[in-house]
Amino acid sequence: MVDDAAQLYTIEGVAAGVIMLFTAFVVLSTTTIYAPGDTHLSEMQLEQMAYDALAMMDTPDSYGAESDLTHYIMTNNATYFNAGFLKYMGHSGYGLEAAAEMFPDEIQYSATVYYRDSGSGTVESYPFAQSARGEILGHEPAVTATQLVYIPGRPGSPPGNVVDNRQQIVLMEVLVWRG
Amino acid sequence: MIPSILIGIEAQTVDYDAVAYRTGVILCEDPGSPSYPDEAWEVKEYYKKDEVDRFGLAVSRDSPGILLPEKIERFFNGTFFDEQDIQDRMLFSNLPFGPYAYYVRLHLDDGTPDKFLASGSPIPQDPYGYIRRAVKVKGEHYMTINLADPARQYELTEEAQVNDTIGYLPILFNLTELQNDEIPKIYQINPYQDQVVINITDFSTTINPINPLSSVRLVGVTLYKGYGNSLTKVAGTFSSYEDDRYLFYIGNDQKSLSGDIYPTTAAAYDDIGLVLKPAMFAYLEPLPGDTIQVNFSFQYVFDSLPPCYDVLKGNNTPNLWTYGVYYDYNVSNVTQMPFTSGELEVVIW
Repeated sequence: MVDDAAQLYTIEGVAAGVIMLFTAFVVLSTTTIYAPGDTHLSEMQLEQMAYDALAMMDTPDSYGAESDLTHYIMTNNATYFNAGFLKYMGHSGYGLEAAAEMFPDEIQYSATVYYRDSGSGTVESYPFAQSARGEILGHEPAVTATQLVYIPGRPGSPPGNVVDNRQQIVLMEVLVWRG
Repeated sequence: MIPSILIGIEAQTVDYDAVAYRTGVILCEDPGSPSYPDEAWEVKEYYKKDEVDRFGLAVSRDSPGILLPEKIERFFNGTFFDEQDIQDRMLFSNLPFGPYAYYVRLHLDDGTPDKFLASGSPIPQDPYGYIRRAVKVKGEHYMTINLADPARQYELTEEAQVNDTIGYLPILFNLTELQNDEIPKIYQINPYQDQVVINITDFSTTINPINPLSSVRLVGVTLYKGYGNSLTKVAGTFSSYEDDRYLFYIGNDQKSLSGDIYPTTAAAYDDIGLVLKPAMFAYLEPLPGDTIQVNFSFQYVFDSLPPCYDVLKGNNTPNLWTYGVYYDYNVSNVTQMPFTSGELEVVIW
């Protein structure tokens, strides 16, 4: 006779089918594929190199000597700073494409010195050095590197900025970009 | 069922630049593990190789970017550490990303050839990770004693009593004075990390004879260790571990200090050099406050008994350091070379 016993079998079959499909879905959705990253973080490398350049320029080569960066600030010698800084930024890594795109020949920078005026208690600044180039394009994002530099007296700042004549720490900030 | 619901595929990227950056930081900003004041990884002998946890080339944790020459030499020595050591102790590669292929290059601005460490396979066009760090290498230091210079403070006058006179030249290391914390670690003379070089020149011309000098010979090099007035001789120092612990030169020839030595005559050589490597100080294991002394013994033979001579005065009595030369920060004794700039490049793929 027709009764409702078969419905239970059907419902059981449908439930089993749904469970199997769900299990297959769970298994397949956990597949991962490892793919290599496709872009070099060139901004990170530029910032790291600018930081390294400032840190190395501020390390004296022998005990008791003056560091290069202190000397440049004291004598306000932007030419030597330019040569020293670009020497670090421009070394090429023997033809590697990543190295060439991270350190192209056209690195632009702008260096500023911040000092504290003890009379007014405010922080002043003066521009220290800029990269010299004909046409400067500013499309690329810039990174910043800073270094706290000890100077033993009044630096050779341009007229209009009178810095205290005392031992002090100044902040050298360099903005770097490719352009 | 819609196929896009069934199929969920994630792409997980391997960031080679991050691994290269991490490796650059490990090499440039970390002294490695274990490092001074424990027995440093660059000093460990081959059978203790597994005690090294991590490589690092920096002088100390406080001096990122300033590298130590001894660590550079051990790291770029292609035969001491093998491929598995590099993977475990520098790259920390683990499944499923590892093992990585690598290329490390150190370039110095002093004209020496670049140093390389490579896994062997060529660098692919893409993808790879790259980092470049600016570094400076700590300068080496050395002492040069010209015994013909009458201004040296250790030349004293003593009457030679017999035909065969022994004079001593002690070179002293006051370890407490050397580890002066007022001097930053990157400028310190640290015999546990740097090699110590002693050059002695013109020792056969030290004598200003009234009567002829027949010969001057170096007859012994001994090491003493101790505190205060009591220095005791350390036995077995110049045994067979030559290149790891010390290097000894007579003129330009490298010689061994073990066994019977110096069969040469006075005319054959007039300057000697002794290099003590950090492994030697690790072997000596001085206690804090100790002094290490290297004693050079010279034998003078005169043709006839001289009335008065200048000879080196130094002996094995407790007050020996009065006559010795200290290897310290005095620039007239020891020359410290300035730093050398360079760059370190790491490529990972």
